[in-house]
Amino acid sequence: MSEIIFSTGSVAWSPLMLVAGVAIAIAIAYLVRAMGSNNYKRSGEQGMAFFSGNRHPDDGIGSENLYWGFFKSMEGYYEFMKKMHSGIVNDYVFWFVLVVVVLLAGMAFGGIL
Amino acid sequence: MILENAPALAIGIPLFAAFAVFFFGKLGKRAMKVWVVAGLLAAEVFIIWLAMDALSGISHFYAVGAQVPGIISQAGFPVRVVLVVDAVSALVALVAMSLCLLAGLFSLRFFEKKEGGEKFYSLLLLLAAGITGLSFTGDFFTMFVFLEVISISSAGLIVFFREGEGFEAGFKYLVLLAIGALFLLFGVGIFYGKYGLLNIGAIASLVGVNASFIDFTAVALIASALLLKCGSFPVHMWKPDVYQKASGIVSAVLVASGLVGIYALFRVLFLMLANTPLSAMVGWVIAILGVFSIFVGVTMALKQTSLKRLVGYAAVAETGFVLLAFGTGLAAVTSMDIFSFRAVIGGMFQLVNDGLDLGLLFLLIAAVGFVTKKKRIGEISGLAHKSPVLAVLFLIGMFAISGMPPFNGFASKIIIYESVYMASPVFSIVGILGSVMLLAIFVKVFVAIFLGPPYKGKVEVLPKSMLLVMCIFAFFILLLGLFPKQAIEGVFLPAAKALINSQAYIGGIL
Repeated sequence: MSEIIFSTGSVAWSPLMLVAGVAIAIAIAYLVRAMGSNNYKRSGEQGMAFFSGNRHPDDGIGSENLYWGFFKSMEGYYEFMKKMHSGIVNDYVFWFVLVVVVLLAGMAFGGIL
Repeated sequence: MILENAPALAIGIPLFAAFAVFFFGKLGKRAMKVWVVAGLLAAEVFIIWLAMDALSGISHFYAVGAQVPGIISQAGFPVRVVLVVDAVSALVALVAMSLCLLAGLFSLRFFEKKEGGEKFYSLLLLLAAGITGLSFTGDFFTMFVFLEVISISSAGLIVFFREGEGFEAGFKYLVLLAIGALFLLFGVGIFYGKYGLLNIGAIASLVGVNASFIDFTAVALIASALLLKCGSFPVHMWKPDVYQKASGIVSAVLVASGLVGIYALFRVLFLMLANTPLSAMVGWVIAILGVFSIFVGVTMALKQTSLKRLVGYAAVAETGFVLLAFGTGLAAVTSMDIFSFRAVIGGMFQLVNDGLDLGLLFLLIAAVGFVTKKKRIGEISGLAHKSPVLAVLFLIGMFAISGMPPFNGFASKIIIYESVYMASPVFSIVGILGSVMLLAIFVKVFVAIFLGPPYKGKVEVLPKSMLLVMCIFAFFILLLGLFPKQAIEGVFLPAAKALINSQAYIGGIL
């Protein structure tokens, strides 16, 4: 038993037991499904795809629209990031030089301490 | 005799194969493919043998060109190029070479109707030689040479399938890595000027508690160049640019070169700073860069509409997890407590997981492009109806990279969260937030590509060789996820010990 239990020091768990639990959950889901009505028809509304209760458009949903609220609240952060990721190699070199400076300053500061 | 020279052969075989591939290309595509696979496979076999030895506690110190493997000159210091194969360098070389081999196997069908395969495979083999060399190298100058080999071959691969913007991405990569390599060379020059040595172990033995500011300047310059190579914040910007424009197969091998860059960074830092008072400060700087890499990686990935660029940002976040773990370990290297040591084990585990998870996702992107013949992933939806196998493999890659149980990412990340929490709860919370956001990002991608009404376009049958390669990735993801205890005890514990034990490395060299 101890061979399948993974301990990190504070937490112990078994991936194999988790898999067994998931398998049992899938079996229960299958049983519930098997108890359903068997007069399902692919044509008509029963065969249509829905997304959040709405009819799914045939050409799919633009995935970029899913987290609109998050982007709106982080607008300032994304504006800064847009400037940082300019695509210009000179800007990238600037950030690299900044890393060198920070590390050198850290070394000097650490040396003084 | 052959096994004695295995460290040199693991580098030499792909190097020789890279130049001979043009000769086999003249004999026909079949001969060329057999030659390429044979070259990569032979190198892989030697590395597996070396890794088995190293993980069981037998390290190899190989002096290139020496008839007798004594490496000390009459003056009392090593003068030859030394290859060091211990548990950590062998593990990193094994993962990186496996990625090259699997990407090579995956690419075989791409060149059935296309020309120019010999150029592509020559660059791939050259890259494989470079990453093995960088993993095994024991001296700074050879490190610089192998970094250059990796940069040039990678830039060639990035532009190989592309035109226009692909050239721009390759150019940016080459310019940045060349500037980074110059800073590394400057740092190496400082060490050579002060000690007259290039051997990493020999220099580390002299940089001790009495290290001066000039030593730390050299370390800072070398570390900056390697941080650029592994794509840490704020020098990560080349990564999404390049991954977006390169083909999925090339991105998978670029992941391998990034892993070796991370290894080289921490090999140098653990060796040079282990006995100095600066290890704590530098460790915290690296851990903070790791936290920022996670945050910037996931928040920028969430915003992307190009799948390859999105995975590129996810790769930045994944690098952040490794930097956070190793940085926490480095900060406490002088008085290594159990949690800091576990952080190093978690970092080692995460390093291997990055190769597996990102490798699988990039090859899946290439496979989706191959079966649909669409260049823009945004044009594809509802693919699960026609290619359920790809959907299942994507789910495995998605759950693995997001750290969902019972996949490999969960096992490594829970060790990192727990050990880092003891040092800084805030860092650990940012890490957990990053994992949650990674799941949100990939759910979005999965919904967009695989769910919805059935895909209306034509879907080609996925070649068996490609499917087999992706199944191998999925197998190892599940294996490490289901048996983490065995993986840690057999692989990651010896590797973590080898990384932090600078005395064993220095003692082996001297």
